[in-house]
Amino acid sequence: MSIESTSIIINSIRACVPKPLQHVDINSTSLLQDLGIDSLGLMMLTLELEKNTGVKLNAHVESLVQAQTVRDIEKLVSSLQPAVESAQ
Amino acid sequence: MKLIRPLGFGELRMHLLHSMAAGTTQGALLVRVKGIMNNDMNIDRIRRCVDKIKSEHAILSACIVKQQSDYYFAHTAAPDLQYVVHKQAANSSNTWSDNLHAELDHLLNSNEQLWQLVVYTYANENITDFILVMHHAVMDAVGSEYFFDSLFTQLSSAENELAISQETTEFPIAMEADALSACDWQAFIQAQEKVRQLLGQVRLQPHLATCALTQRKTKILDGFLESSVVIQLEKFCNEQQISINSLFSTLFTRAVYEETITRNSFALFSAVSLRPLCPNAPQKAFGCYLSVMPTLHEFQRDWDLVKEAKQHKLKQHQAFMDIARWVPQSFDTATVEKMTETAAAATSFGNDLGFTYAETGLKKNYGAITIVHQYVGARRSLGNVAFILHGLKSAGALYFTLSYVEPLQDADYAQRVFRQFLALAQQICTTNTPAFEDI
Repeated sequence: MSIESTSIIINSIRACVPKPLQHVDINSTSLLQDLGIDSLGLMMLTLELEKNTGVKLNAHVESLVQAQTVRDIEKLVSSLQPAVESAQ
Repeated sequence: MKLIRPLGFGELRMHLLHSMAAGTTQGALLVRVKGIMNNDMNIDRIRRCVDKIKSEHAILSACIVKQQSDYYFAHTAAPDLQYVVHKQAANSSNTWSDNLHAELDHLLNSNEQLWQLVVYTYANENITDFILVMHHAVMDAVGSEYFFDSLFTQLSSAENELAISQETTEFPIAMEADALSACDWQAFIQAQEKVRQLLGQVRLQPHLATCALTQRKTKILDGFLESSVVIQLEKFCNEQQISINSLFSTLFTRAVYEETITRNSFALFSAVSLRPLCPNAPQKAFGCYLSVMPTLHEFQRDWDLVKEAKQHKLKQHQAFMDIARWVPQSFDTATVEKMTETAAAATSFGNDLGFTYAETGLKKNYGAITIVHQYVGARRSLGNVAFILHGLKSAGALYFTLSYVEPLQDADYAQRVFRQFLALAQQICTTNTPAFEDI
């Protein structure tokens, strides 16, 4: 995954982190639970990721719900991006 | 009468659904506090605080009118409207739930006003019950808590800070003009088709009686879980990696199943606020940002709570992506009117079960004012939901109301469901707490 893609994903996650935790450093090993991403936060994160990365996540909700770390999200988005690029 | 703007889709749907009887009270938030009477705060001061909040928010002076074929927010033209009503009673014990029933069935005229604060005081007691009844076009759960936060902040402020404000916040824009997930009408209809398909998979609960909307009465059962129990439940959720929302949704649907021998599948509509999807909407403000996430739950006698709660989380996320997030940018009023008309004539509970859960946005103390408890209520006379469970976490404890409507629903059945729900929640603590000998 490129540095740019990682940065887009981390920024998407940061947009969904509750205000009191927004100062927390986010990296690939960060746990979504530690970042205060609850079930509603995860729904918002799904929309942010769709908006910022262009991937469609409707069919991948199960993988999203099971994601525990930022890296899990990176892997999911990265696995979907080549298909998007080739379609374009 | 000066028109402000047309109602948005969500606002219109709420308005039409609840205008079928002779008024539009839709929801209520009851907040019991102590400390107000001790501090020489009286009803006049409460009125002045409300006047100040009203002067700061144009939406609080609005009403809804129909002009030709469209509905508009308008500046109310009615003189001397009562936004604060004071009622006195002999003592406070156990009266709050009766008062909540009564206020929910007391209907406001939406051509004049869209909310009212009823203040109950009790002779020789330092307890005050505030019941805010509201039309959801102007206030959702966030809005009603914002109202109380503003009120209690004002009440605990110095007298000279209560001057009427010269600055009024702008009227909120309709959700669909702001939501990141706004869609065209066709896409919205496709999403609604998924709801229809889901409801087609369950046998909806029939009404026990047929009677006019005006003869139906909201009934509320209430109960709470103490903070020590809530701590254990939250610990359990953390360990099992399930959300508290999914835990209670699962317990609620399971409780209904246990008490409903004729069915093994239910549709659950969970409320969600689309406020986070609206970049221009303040996160604490008035306005209507409600949507619902419908999920289907099937049961068998043997069950695994954690597995079912995890499935609920997954189903809910999918329902959000497929259905709840979509808001139509444009719509035809006549079509929306037709869509909502069917509910009044239905002979079964069209949407099965409802669930809301939130953590309060209010502080425990505002100066000398201490919040004792908070309960959510909803008028149910439309009979579109068989049971709706509201959970609100406040000061560590969890306050629940289960609302239903008589005579469409059986009171014994409702009580059994609610007792079963609370027992299942308590059971988790019993099962997961080590026995004394083990410590």
